[in-house]
Amino acid sequence: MPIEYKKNQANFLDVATVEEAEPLLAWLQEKKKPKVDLKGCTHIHSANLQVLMALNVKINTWPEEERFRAWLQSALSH
Amino acid sequence: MNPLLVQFLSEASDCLEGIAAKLMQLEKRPGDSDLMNELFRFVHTLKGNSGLFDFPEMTRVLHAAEDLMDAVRTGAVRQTKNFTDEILDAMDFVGGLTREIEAHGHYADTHRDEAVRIAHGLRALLSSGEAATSSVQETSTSPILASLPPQSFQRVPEAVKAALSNHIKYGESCFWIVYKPEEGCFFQGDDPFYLARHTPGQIWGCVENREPWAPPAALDPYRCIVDFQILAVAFKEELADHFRYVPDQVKILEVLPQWLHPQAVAHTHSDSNPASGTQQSEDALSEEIFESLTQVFRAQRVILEVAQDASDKKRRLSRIGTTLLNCAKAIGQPPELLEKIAALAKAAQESGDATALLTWMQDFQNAGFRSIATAKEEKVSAASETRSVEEAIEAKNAARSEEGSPASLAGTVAKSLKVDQVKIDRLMNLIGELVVSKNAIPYLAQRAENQFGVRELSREIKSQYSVINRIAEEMQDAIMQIRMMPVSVVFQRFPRLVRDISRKLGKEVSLVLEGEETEADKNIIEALADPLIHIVRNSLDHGLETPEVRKAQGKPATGTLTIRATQEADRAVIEITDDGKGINPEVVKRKAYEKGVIDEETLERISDEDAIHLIFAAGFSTAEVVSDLSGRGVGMDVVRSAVEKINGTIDLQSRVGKGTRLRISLPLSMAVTQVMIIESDGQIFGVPMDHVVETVRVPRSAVRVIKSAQMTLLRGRLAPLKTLNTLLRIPAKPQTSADDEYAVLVVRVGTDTLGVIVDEFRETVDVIQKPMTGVLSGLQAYSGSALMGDGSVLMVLNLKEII
Amino acid sequence: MKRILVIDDAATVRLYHRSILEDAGYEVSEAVNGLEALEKALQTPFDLYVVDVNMPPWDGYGFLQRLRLAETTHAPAIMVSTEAAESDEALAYRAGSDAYLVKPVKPKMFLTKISLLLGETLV
Repeated sequence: MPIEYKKNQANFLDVATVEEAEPLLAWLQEKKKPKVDLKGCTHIHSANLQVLMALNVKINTWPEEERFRAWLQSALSH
Repeated sequence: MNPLLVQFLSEASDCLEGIAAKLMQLEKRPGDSDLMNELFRFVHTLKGNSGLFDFPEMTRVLHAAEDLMDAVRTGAVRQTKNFTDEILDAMDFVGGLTREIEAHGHYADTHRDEAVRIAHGLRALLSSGEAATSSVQETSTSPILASLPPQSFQRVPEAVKAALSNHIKYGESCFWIVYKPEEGCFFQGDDPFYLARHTPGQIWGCVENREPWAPPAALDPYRCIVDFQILAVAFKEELADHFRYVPDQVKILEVLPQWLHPQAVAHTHSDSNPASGTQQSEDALSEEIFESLTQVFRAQRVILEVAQDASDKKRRLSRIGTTLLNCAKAIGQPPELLEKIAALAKAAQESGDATALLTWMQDFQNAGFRSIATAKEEKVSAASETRSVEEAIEAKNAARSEEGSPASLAGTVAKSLKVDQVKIDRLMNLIGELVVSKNAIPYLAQRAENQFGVRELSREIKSQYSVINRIAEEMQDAIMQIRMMPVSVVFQRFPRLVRDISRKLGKEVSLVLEGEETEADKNIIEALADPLIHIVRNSLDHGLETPEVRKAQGKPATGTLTIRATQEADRAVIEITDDGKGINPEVVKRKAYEKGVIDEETLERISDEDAIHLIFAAGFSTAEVVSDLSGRGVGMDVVRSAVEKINGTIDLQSRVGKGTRLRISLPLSMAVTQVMIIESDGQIFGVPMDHVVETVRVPRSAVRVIKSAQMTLLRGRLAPLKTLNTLLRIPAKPQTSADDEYAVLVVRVGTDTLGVIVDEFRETVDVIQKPMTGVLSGLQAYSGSALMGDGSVLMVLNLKEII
Repeated sequence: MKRILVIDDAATVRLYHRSILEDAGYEVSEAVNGLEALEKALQTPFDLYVVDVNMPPWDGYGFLQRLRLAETTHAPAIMVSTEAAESDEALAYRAGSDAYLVKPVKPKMFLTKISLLLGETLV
């Protein structure tokens, strides 16, 4: 499912596929303090992961699934 | 010179001569297989001997020569003039080395390059046109063995390292995986993050960029520059299979015990090796013993497997029995265990069925080669328990806080004590009695003041009581600690169980264990084992779907089963979660109706939430097919009563298609409960203070009778009144006080508040409740009994049952 | 004192094993091949056998098979081989070995396994 872009918040739903990486990158650059909500997210393609890591994005809500959350937390909190 | 070295040189000289001679003969009679075999033997022996010492250059050359010789004698490579020349050159080289050794005890470092060149030359002949045989590579496709962990291993958190340590201890293979996807892999449809996330058996992972990120404006998200590191507990075949499309981008290293205990250095040639003549200080033996036992046990299984026929099997079983017996003896196991092994082996021989023996072997191995609790004599020798004895003693010393606590205890290596279960029980009983009898002291103090007017004395008694009270409570805590065990005792059998069952069912399951160090009382831990196993089996059997079904639903093919233990206040909480198909309220409802568990009206009205909980009803099972694994689709009612028997509660949440979570809450220990003593018809009973809201006096006039049930106003609301005598079937009427009032104990049971009419209230005391045993355990009315200070027995009421 | 028979056609290897075992307090006898080993074993049975695989005329497998058929009480045997493959290990067990070690043996593991097989107390 495509990422839902609300005013200042990007909601990741289910799986974020490889094609979403560039739009995500563009959107993140536009916004001053973008928020990312991963609550309903079950997976993101590596390309999206790279975008999040490169821009050091602040994550508002982490995903539910434990191990997924752990992966993301270790990647994004450096 | 070292006699072994002398012997080596002597034999080496013989071999070299023999090789030279045979080579010459072989030139005259090429293809003579006897000659080739003899030639091979010489090279093989020489190589084997050199391996006993620290002569890597020599061994390397001889290894290459041996491989070449082997290929020639099996006909895989043709013997050519080149061949003879190369071997002769190689042997000249080896001869030179032996001369140096003879003169100096070793040869110079400078030979390395030449050794490499010669070995290379020999191996080149192996693949020269003719059917190239086996090992040209010196390394095989099995995981690399690195005795030191890679740098990045340091960032693994301690908790994960601890879990890893346990896995290794229990003989499971653990691997450190470094996955460096190539830059353009996305364009080939790879999603490395997905692959990494779904590594079978993973317990930890991290991802990092291998070069600095470009500024956002210049960033190319489709160029992959991240690397993954993963820790996984799995079979190497599983991992190789998982990464089969990217083998060149992945490195799999086996995690060795040395990685976690750097001081236990890998055994190199130089430890107490006669060939080198030096002795290294003794390492802790336990690692060798453990490894040896693991290997020996595995060997026994294979020994059984390769039996040719029934009588061969019988002979083998006899040998295996002896071996196991000897192993157990060697590690100091008690006589009962030795008898048990002997009995199992004998039974296996007689019946021809070794399953029981093999199961015992597996359990014993899973328990780290320690005997699991047997009936009478039990040795409390696990490190955590003995550590607790240490801690308890240390805590007491610290509490006394005298300067310079006994140096002998501080900072020493934890010493083990083996203690009989019986002695611990005795201690527990004594402390139980102490806790109860100390309760009388404040009253005595009161009496001293009120009845005898000795105020000073009363004050002193009270003061001394507070000291005794503190000590008694600490002692009780310390003793409870001795009985505390970590849940890992139960958890440790699950990796194997899950792997075996999931394989049999054709399901892929990743087991995650968390919080294994959480502790609870021994009895509780032991009682937990069976219910947990049932739950896990049910989850594997009925909850988790096959990979095909899962993929069709867009779920990852590998299901996840998480067993987590945590401590919440004074309870231990165990959660078992799966991401399987969940419990379908519709199916459950219908089944319950069909089995007559609920009536039609309930079928219509019941909520989904309540419907799911119907699985706990007696005689309920949705298993369509009696799976041979779970047996008779083990009912959750059995699980629930087992949990409740140890004063635990069990609850469940489920979403269709998403999964199920079972939550078991247990008391941490058989702790002290506060009970209020009440009197009825001259007998005393205890009511747990958990249930007691308040005590009131209700005038007889305030009691209404509505539809033949007694009711009264309690806290502004109409609440039912029950008479204890009636509930316990005591044929006596409740007594009223002088003012014609009833003594009513207001209690809360579940969500209901009601009043219980008794004759009189007495004091509140702390007791250690013991569950009813033997013939009395069928009495539902009582949750347990407790020993009073004066030696009498107090029956504690189980309000839930009697009301 | 327990008696161990070391069977290997390489004198150096026999000496290597002997030194480790004698240091640990065992009485060691040697045989250069399966034939000699069987003769010795039939004369006075040993408490444990350390058997190399590759020795003419019978290799270690041959010796073990004959030993198992001939012996009255079972004595443990450790097979020592240059091969680390599981298939070779399985062959060893089929022939009648109780444990398996890859050459060159590491002294500690060697002695630990022997203690386990003999039921001697390990520290």
